[in-house]
Formats: sequence, C-alpha cells, structure tokens
Amino acid sequence: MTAPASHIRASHVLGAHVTPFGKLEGSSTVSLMTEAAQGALDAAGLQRSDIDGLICGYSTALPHLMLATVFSEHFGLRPNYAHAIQMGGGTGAGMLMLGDALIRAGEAHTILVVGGENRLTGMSRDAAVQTLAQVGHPKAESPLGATIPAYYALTAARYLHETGASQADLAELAVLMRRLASDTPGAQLTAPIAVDDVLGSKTIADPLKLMDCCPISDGGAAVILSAEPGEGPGMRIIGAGQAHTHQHISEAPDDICLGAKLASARAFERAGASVADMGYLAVYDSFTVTLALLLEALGVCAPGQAGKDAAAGRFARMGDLPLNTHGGLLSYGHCGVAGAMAHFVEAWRQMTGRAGPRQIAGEPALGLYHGDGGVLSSHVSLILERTS
Amino acid sequence: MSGIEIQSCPACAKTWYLPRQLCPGCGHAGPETRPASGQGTVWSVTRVERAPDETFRAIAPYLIALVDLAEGPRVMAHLTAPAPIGAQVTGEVRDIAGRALPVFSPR
Repeated sequence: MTAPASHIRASHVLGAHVTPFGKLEGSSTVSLMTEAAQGALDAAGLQRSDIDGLICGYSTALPHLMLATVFSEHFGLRPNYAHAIQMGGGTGAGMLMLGDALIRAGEAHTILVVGGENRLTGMSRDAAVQTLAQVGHPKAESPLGATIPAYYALTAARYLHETGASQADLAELAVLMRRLASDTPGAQLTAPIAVDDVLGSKTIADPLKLMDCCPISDGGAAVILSAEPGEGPGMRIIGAGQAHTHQHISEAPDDICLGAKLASARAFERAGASVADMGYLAVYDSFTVTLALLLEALGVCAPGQAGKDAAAGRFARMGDLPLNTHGGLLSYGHCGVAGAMAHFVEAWRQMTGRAGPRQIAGEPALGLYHGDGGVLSSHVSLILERTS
Repeated sequence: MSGIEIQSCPACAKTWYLPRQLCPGCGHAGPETRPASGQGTVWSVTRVERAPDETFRAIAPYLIALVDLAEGPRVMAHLTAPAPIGAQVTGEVRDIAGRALPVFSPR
C-alpha cells in the first residue's frame, strides 16, 4: 500500500479536529488528546489501526519524558514511529512539518499529530505564568521578574516606536479575533469587544493590556497526515520552512521577527509560491503584537499597517484574505501545543469547504500557516494547497 | 565599576552578555570576561504590572528594559525611573527584591 518514497511529494490532511477551549473541569492532558485524536479519526473515517506514526507535543500540566508513548498506550496505538517534540508555541507547526517530512521520506504512511493540555484547570495561574516564563534566561531574564507578557511587551514597545503604529492599531487585532470567535462553536471568549474595551482593560505589561493577551485554556487538537489523499475536497502541505534566530529576547536580532522572514522564504521556495498567492492565513497570535509582527514579517502587511488592515476589513471572514477565522489564540483560546494547532484545523475546514455556516466566501487554492515559539525565537511556516 | 560583566572573544572581537564557554561567533574556546562601564542606551522598555510571584508583586509595578551597553551587548535590566527608547542610562548591579540584578537610571 505504501507508495515508493520518491513518489510522495506532499502529505495530505485526511482529518482534523479541535475540542472546545476554555475551562473544562475534569479534563486532563491525556483526556484532551484522546478527544482530539478520536475526533480527527472520525473526520478522516479511519481506525486506530490505520495509524502507523504518532507525533505529539509537550504538556506543562503533565511534564513527561515520553508523552508520545504514554498517549499511544492509553489510546490503543501500536505505532512504528512515535515521539514528542518541544518548540514552545511553534510546536504545532513543527509537528506538522515533521509529519510531512516523515511521510515524504517513507518512514510512515499515516501519522497522527496530536496535542492537548488542561493548562487552565490543571495548574494555578501563577504556576502557569512561572512555567511559561522559563522561556526567558534562567539567570539573566527570569530572575528580574520578567514574564512572557513582559518579553512580548518589550517587542511591542519597540514595534510601536519603529513603525509609528498605535496601541489602538494593535487593539484592532484583538477586536477582529473576538468578532471571529463570537460565532465559532467551542471558542473560549465570545463577548464582542471594541477598541476602547481593549485600551481600557488593565495593563499587564505596558503597552500590552489584558485584551492584547490570549487567555489560558484547556483544550486539544489533532490532525491526521497521510501519504495518500482521502475522498472529496482535501488539503496537502506543499511547502515548509523553519528558522531559529535566538532563544532569549536579549539576543534577538534588531530585526526582531527575522525568523518569520527566513522560515516563510524557505516554505515559499519549496512550494513555488509567494505571499501574494495566499488566499487564507493561519498565523500565531499569542499577543496582538505577535500577530502584527508576524503579518508584517511574512509580507502580508506593510510595516506598522497590520492593525489598520484589520480595521479596514481585509482579514474579515468575507474579506480579501481571511485570517484565523476561528478566533485565534486571542479568543478561541490558548492551551499550549493544541492552541496553535487550532489554526491549522480551521485552515483545513475553511480550505476544504467544511466550515458550515462560518464558511469563507472564496475557495482559496493556497494558504499560509505560521507558528512561532519563545519570544519570536523559533519559526515554522507551512504552505497549504487545496486539492479537489 | 558597575558590577555588570560581559564577555569578549580575543580572536574575533565579538562581545556578548549571556555567559558561555565558547565564542558564539567563531567558536574560540577562550572568551574573556570583563567589566562593563555601565553606560548604555534603552532599546526597549516595559512597565510590568502583573508580576509573576509574591516577591515581585511586592514591588510592582516595575520597569524592565533592554539596554544596549556602550560595549555592544544587550542586557535585560530594571530601570529606576521611566526612560524612553533611545534614552542614555547608567547602571550597576544592585539589590532588587533580594537579588543582585542590573539596574539602570536615566542619565
């Protein structure tokens, strides 16, 4: 059944699923991974025995040396290939890039990529903030009382200084994500907000307000990649690229989002496409400034214009270039690894006509998925193509 | 001196802040540790209002900046008073919340 590796040019998405995000009492890392994996199998019309490869991420609520085999045993898989990877917020995109590479190399035929974590109910808010702050340097950054929002606030202050954009411009991105989440089943934050609500929310680390920051969530997401296409409208990965410019913001390049430029250039080159060809965007949005910096580094927006483009309706569901139509990390929610996978699940639904009443108007042939981990440290870009 | 230390490479003259046993530029195995003057320029700055733990909640809000030292490396530090991006600052290692941390003040 397995085609010769040399004939496999791209991996196909056979199914994908994202659970509701939010406060899911009684959930656990493994239960959320299970719910997501079963949902993806059901969407693909596959059985457990069809899966011969498993890639998972990490869970801050369940740190484990061997999360992939913990899950494999629990879920009833006997994969030929299985392990976890860790790239912070870039993990979801990194897992999918690895799955694609393994399939193209012929190491596995059908791979389950899964993440899940009860980050909200599984640990205290202080514990979550402190765990995530480990992204900072253990001697030169974290001991200063710096947090993830503080690291991103430093990028935000610099972004506003360099581009002349305003806090209201950043707020537009939060407003957009909330509007999109408001009719997405399973979204964590759905009450409509306006720019003034964002600007009036409490300061976390200036210039970032509470509503510039994603929430902490429980949730899970899973994707099944295969060497062969499924029935009906499908999607495949035709380009991928990574770039890792630094770990700590203290050693970030002056062009702080350089990694997104490098990673996407590699992905576009392999795909033989450019950003102008993209009809759907799935872009990591842990903070409003993350989304602004990435959209501009990816070449989607001119410097300083991301918020203004959002305000003008460019990224609306029925706009020219739909973006994170589930509501992104900022409003669908962020449970770690699965948080960024939700963007990919939504891209698959939209690009293959599976989004129901939330379906975008156009039928984009190509889409861009971009994840970043750390403080704009680790970048992964994937180019997605609709297949009929 | 400021008490702030940087490293430099005798082979390629690269300077950096986060301690290493090798030069991250050329790989030379004998980087030198030397004191920094404490003179710098604010590259970015934030006022942290949501502190990560009890230690820092006691002194919140506080200012954290990335400061470009005159010698080149970028250092994360506390600021004693607001200073905008581009401002000249002077710093030293001082006690903040019971820890010896780099702290800068507007010049």
